[in-house]
Amino acid sequence: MAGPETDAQFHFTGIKKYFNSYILTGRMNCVLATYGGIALMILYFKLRSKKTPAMKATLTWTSSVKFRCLEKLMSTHHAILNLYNKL
Amino acid sequence: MNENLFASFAAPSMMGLPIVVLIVMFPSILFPTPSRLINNRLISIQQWLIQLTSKQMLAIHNQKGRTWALMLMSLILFIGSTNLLGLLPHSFTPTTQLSMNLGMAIPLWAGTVITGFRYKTKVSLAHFLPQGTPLPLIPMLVVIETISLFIQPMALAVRLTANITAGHLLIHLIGGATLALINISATTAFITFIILILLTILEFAVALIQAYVFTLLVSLYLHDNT
Repeated sequence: MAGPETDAQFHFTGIKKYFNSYILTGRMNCVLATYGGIALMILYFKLRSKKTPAMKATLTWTSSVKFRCLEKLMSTHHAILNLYNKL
Repeated sequence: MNENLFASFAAPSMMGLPIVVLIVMFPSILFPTPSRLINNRLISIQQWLIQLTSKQMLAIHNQKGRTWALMLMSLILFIGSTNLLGLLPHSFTPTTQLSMNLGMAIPLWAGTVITGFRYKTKVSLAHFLPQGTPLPLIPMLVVIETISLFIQPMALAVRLTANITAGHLLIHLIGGATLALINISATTAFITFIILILLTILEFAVALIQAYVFTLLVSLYLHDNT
């Protein structure tokens, strides 16, 4: 069974000193890192935008100045045509 | 026949009032409180049995674990007596109800886990990763150990429910078969009756064994966390 007396026989250096599957602290840190990783993945998928790149491009285009000018031009053109048809 | 098979597992009521609470409380009447230094035969036998069980069950525990002695002894006495009383004909067995067994398993298991996290946080967290696990397997094993931890109370409850329910159903079925075979073939009915006797003896053993297994597992979870 793992315990402080068995942990003394292991000598790790660098990152392995804190993340390993032999000593108590190392195992605890690995478990916490795994849980942290899962939590981050859940957060990432929850917070990321649900719109696709095509939708984003369309929304960007529809909110742009060029599109608004074109829309105004088209509505003016339709108004003139209707007037012409009435006459 | 089909309706009668599962009718014994329905929560009983008398004149529209549920009496399941009375049935659950009934086994406590069978264990009178010792009031003298030297008691009558019934109490002396019960005391001897309790001492025998508690010595064997608490031998593995440290000081902290032994504070659960009363809880564990009450648990084994309650489940054992309830299971045995359920073998009486036409009686209702509370331990066939999953709700009741979950109500026992979840608080006891949660108590052991919370005790472990409160007094030995590092060791409790380290338990999720077996020693010597290769690096690539660490995340998967942590997830598997977490799932196995949360399955423990479900397994406790379902084990007891399934064993007692299955035993009672088998007794019902084989008893019904014996009665049906009497008019058809006496020899076959006799053989079926012998099987019924053997099954009843088995159910007596299962009733006590399941009580012991339930309590032993709670005791082991406690030992891991103290």
